[in-house]
Amino acid sequence: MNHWEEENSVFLAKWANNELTDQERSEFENSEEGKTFLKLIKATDNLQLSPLNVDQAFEEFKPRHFTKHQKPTKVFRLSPVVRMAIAASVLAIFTITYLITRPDYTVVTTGFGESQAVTLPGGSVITLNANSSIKYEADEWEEGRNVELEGEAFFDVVKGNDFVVHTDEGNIKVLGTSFNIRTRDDDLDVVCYTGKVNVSDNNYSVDLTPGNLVRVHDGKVLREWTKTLTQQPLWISGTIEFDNASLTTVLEELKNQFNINYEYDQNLAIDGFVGAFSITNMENAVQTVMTAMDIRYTFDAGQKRLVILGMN
Amino acid sequence: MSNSEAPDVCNEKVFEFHFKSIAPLLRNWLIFKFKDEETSEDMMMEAFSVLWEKCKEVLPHQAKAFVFRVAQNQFLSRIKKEKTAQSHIPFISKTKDNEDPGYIMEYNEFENTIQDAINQLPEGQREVFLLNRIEKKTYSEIAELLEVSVKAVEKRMHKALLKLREVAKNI
Repeated sequence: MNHWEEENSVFLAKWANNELTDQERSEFENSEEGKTFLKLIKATDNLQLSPLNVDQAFEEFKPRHFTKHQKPTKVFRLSPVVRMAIAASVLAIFTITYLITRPDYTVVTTGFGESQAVTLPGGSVITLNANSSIKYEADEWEEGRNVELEGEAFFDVVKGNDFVVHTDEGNIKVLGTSFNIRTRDDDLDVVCYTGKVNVSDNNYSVDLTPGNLVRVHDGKVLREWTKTLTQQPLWISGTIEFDNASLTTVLEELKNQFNINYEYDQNLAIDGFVGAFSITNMENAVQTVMTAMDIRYTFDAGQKRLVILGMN
Repeated sequence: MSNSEAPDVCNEKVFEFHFKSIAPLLRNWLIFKFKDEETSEDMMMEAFSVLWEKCKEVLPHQAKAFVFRVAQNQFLSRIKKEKTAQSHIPFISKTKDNEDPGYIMEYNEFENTIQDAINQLPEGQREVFLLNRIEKKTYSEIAELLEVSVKAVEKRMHKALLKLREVAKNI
């Protein structure tokens, strides 16, 4: 596996921004893969949009707006004391306006092995799984219920106007319902628990009803299927379950829950794993899933280091 | 507050300065997201209308962040009504002279394919990629503009390049 293909890598971003060392750069650009990237970035070197005629745009803007709220201004002299008082109050008002109008995001983040419930304005509840985060703007909540999500969370949404969850791989839109979103690396899994959920991005739009699941990968719908639902996702009560999961997904989840580091050969393609582990005991968890997948491994509990050796 | 000398956004000269310095980037960013020039320019104008209405409440140094947020909110409410899947960003490429015509044709085809692929990127990746490539914005400038972390910007850029490569290597 190339290091730029690793989970959460930002190697290509660093490369495109000239942040690599000369040696890293020439090594990468001389590799077969690197040449493709070089060719593709060069093809975007001359990309432009036709420029905006900003003077013309402003001329169009002016007559529509500049007649409004124009008051005749009078010039009059003020004593220095009054001037200072005005200056002070202007400063105070600016400060207050700043505090009122600056974007005020609420960010909630969980670490390895943590989970947390967050009650939103209006009473909707988001339960965050480990190593996940949400961001929303409480002040703007009335105007639109928008939440950004990284990681995994279960949503119980109170009925109201559109509630939209934004993820890197697509947007999930509902009115009032409960659903689970898992977005790790390039995968997006959405399970509808109650009501109706819409998952969409540029190239797809899928409606889910209770028990329906959709998996999106690389901006495309990979598969849709149905499952028997518990009242809530099992992870909320401490059981991490897998439904058609890859080895990478399972290893990533062990990392999220226990902060385990892992090493494995990417060629070991295991897919379609169905199973679960409990987050109460790390060593049991590792043993449970590795045995179920029929994998040979070594695990150092002290170092939290898991090495996958191969299939049995 | 009737201090006529306060250089607030309600001053027409100040407003004009902000309009002219912010409008080009705002309009291009909206095109990256919306993939439509006309709608993007309408939305740009709308955002400045809101700035003008609220000029008393917005400090000059916040004007940029303010119009970007207004436009972002407009964008979110519009995207519910309109489908952007079919639209295309109206890219133009600088033409190159003194090249072998055969090479130019092959190269243009490659460029077109990449441009199509850019149109197909998820919105978040597309805006980061193009703000960096066309607008020459640094990752930290993009992070500030979109109000996300630099790490998140880098992840989107990385993913965008991975996706474009899938297309590039098949040509």
